[in-house]
Amino acid sequence: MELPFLRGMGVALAAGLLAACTRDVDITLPPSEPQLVVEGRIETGVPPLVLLSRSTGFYDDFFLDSVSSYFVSGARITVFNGTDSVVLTELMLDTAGVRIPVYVGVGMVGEEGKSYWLVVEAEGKKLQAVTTIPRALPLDSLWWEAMPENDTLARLLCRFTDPPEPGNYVRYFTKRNSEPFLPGFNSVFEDDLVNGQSFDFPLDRGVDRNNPESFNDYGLFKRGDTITVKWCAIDAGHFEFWRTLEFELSGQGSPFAAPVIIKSNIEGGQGIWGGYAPSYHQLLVPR
Amino acid sequence: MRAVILILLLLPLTLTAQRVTLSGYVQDAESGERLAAAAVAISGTSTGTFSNDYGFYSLSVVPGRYRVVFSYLGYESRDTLLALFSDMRLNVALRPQVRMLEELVVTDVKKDANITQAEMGRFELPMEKLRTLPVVFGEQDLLKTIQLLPGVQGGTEASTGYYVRGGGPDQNLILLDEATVYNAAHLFGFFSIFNSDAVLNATLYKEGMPANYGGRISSVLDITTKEGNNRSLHGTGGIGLIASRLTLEGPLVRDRSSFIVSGRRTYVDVLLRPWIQTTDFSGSAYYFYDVNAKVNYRFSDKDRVYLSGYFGRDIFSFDDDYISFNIPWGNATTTLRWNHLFSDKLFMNATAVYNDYHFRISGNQEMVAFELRSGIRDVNLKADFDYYPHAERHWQFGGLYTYHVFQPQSVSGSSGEVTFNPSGVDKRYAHEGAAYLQTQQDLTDQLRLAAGLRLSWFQQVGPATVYRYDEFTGEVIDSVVYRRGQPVQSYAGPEPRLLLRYLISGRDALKLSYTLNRQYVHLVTNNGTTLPADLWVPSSLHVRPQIGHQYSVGFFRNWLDNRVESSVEIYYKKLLNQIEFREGYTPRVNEVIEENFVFGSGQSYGVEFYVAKKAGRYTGWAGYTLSYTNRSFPDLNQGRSFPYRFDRRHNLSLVGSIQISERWEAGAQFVYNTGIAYTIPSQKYFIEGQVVTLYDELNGYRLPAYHRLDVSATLRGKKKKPIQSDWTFGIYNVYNRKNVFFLYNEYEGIFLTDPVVTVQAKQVSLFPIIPSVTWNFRF
Repeated sequence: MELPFLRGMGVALAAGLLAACTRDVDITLPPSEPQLVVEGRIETGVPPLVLLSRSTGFYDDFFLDSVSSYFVSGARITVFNGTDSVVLTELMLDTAGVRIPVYVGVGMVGEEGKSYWLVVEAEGKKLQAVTTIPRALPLDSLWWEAMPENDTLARLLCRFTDPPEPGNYVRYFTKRNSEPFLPGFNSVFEDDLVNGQSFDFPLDRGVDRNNPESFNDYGLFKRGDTITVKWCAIDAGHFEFWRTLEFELSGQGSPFAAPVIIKSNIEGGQGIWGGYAPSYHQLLVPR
Repeated sequence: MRAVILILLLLPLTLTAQRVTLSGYVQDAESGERLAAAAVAISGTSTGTFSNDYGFYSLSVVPGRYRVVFSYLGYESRDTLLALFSDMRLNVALRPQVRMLEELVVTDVKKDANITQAEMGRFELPMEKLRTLPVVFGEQDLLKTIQLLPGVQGGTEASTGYYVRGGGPDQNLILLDEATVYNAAHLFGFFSIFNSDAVLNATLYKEGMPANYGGRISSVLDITTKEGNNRSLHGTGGIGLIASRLTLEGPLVRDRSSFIVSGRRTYVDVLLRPWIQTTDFSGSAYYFYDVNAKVNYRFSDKDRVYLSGYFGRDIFSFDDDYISFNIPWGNATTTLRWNHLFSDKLFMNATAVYNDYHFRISGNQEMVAFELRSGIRDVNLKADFDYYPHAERHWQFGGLYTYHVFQPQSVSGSSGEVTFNPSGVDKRYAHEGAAYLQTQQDLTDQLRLAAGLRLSWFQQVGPATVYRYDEFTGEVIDSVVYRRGQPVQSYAGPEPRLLLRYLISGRDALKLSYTLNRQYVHLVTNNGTTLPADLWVPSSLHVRPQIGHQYSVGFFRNWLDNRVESSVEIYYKKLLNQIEFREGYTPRVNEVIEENFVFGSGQSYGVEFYVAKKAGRYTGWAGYTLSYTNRSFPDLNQGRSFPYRFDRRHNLSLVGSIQISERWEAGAQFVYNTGIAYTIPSQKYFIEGQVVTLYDELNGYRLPAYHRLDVSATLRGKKKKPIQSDWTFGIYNVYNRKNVFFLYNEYEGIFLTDPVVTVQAKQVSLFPIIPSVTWNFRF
């Protein structure tokens, strides 16, 4: 359980109660060396997948038509599962005219209970990481509840039984009808407060943080939606990455929040190499 | 160290000639309030003393006829011819000065105390004197005045947080009637918990703190509340923009016993309600209140008992259809004191204090409920003795004991029928004790030594579970369970305090000091400012006591017949065993908080200039500090040392007030501070299409300089009326400077949708020009 609401409170106070006055300010940063960023995942039954990009100056403009220039191609990426290793194949993914290099480990798929070592060699640097795909932790059941004020909306509820041993971590995504899976606004959970218990809880709809519309009727689904929940067991390092990342995002704009240094599991670079053990659950909310 | 003990031991041997003792209390003639630090001087000599915190003074001299002068700032001096051939008890009542246009005649000889006393970095702040200074919203605040002194840095805009010579916020010992105050702020730091109507005076020590103070390594702020008028019933109060105050005081038994009750409540919640009804903030409410109360009873000239208390609460609540929460927090303190005179030369103050600070959040989000608690509770017993063998000597000794109970953040919750009560987070228990001895001694006519030695001790006791960690992974590998009362870890050490004053002439002096302080309880915060949720933690197996060494040298000179005081001080301070959260720390429930600490050191050095004029038609001061403060932690900022957040290179304060006519008084203050050190993002990258920030250099960026001018004017009502009233008009931030409160970054455009997305840094300023009016009354 996180305490982002305290940070949120600071934002509310500063912005609302005190008629704060805001204006633009120009900041010139000293030049700093770009870092390599890994966005890699390995899921049960799916080959490893890695995107490799570079960080850029914080205040630099971001141009959509030069997206491809942020990505690194020509890297040598290896994944080792303790017995076998595979060199990832670079493919060019073309989405709406934007070409992005994607590295795929053909011939290897994720298995529960196994660890995966990642080695990335690119631009004269060597990055390393390890992740584990834990045993899946399926939800017991899903159901929905009508919203009293608005009969076109529905809230998703779940029952979960946490295993008796501590140290279980989960990241979840939801999908509405044929839309893509989106991570929850606070997408990761740990079991330190709820260890070994069976309990019911509401699960917020996942969001696309870049799309403001995604936040309309926050957390809720619509009557008539087919909801798919992707409920993934993850390991501790993987959890730490998303926990710190989401905490950092929640504090942006608050006068009281200190910057959070995101805990990457990548040695020599930034980003995440994460194993997922998903279980899928579906629920049709009638109109 | 050994030299100090030796000096302390040898001092009594110098006692020789037959002496008689003049002793008694100095008090206010109108209210009967005891006056602390009133000067008692033998005219025509350099012999003299000051009344202690309870107004008691004692002066032993060779028998003879003397002219003795009693004086206190803001009061008319009194001098008396005394034939002192045997011990004499003399209680003296001083009359508050009537305000007048002409310059006050400076009569007494003790106005040069800043030169002659063996003390440095000490500031006396009588509340009455500060009343005409301009303040935001017209709410007088002691802690904001302190920030105007050289060597003291303010926190962020309008915050009551203060940082003394590069020290952290937890390194200031704040005592309210001898009770330790753990969180002195209301409303995220904008107001302090000290109601100006209840406060009598405050003393700040930046260095050379007397050995009776301890437990914090940077400063001491000792606040005394009023005792209440023991002659007749009086009331004071005020109505301001955001809060109202009311104080009642009077005798319970005339000349024997008096009481004072003072209350204050804000009404921002009531005022804002109509404005926020239609906004996202609808449903939120915030207010605070505090109550100070004190009674005292004088059994005889030898015995007096005081009972005082403070109770304050902040309440922040929010309620809408989806989520509701309620956050009360606050302090409660109770102090019972007994003053006893064993003889004309030996005074005792025995104190028992109970104090409690706690913070709680409870909330509901649909079916899920949670509650978070944290706090600290102390029981404290203390005895202080003042011994006056003869005029040139004053001994103080005593001891104290505190039992601490720390409640680290503990969370419980429920979801429907199921409740969660994690057992991992335990309370922490600890004993803290200290004994001290200190004296002042004239070594030659010019050289005076003030030497003190404090021995302090701290012990964490069970019940406790102590974890051992793997050196490399940080994982818990073992744990030891301690029974109730069983010692877990102890720390102890000496704390010498040395100060030498060398009188160059009657007008100037050179002073040197060395101070060592040990601190056993720590506030660790990862916020930009102190928040009510910040945790106090005890020293333990993994957390060692903070140690502060401070060296300073100062030159003091008075001008214009002691009407103007000035000083230059140079200091160097080393802070050891400093604590910060590790990189990437985010608060989590149910964690062993110490696992998230990293340890390092800090240093600060600088030079401070100060000029003050304390009496007359024009009064005020100017302070300028040039200082450098940094921190070094092997585990932060890749091991490179980094500037402390409140490392302000230049700090200038100008404060002045003028008595224009019998009824009008005007005040102004100007501050200029180098901007604080700030961490800003250096790079950005994308994960899952989400932009994420990278930080390079901790506190590597400077906010623009902070400066501001405030003015005020006070109109006093006619003296004769049964109810006297004052109007105070103020303008905060006169030239509407847009000082930066914080920075944030805004993305203009939507990533992966818009052709270009720019990042714009925005600065938020908090308070524009703010006029205020306050109506104060007294009867």
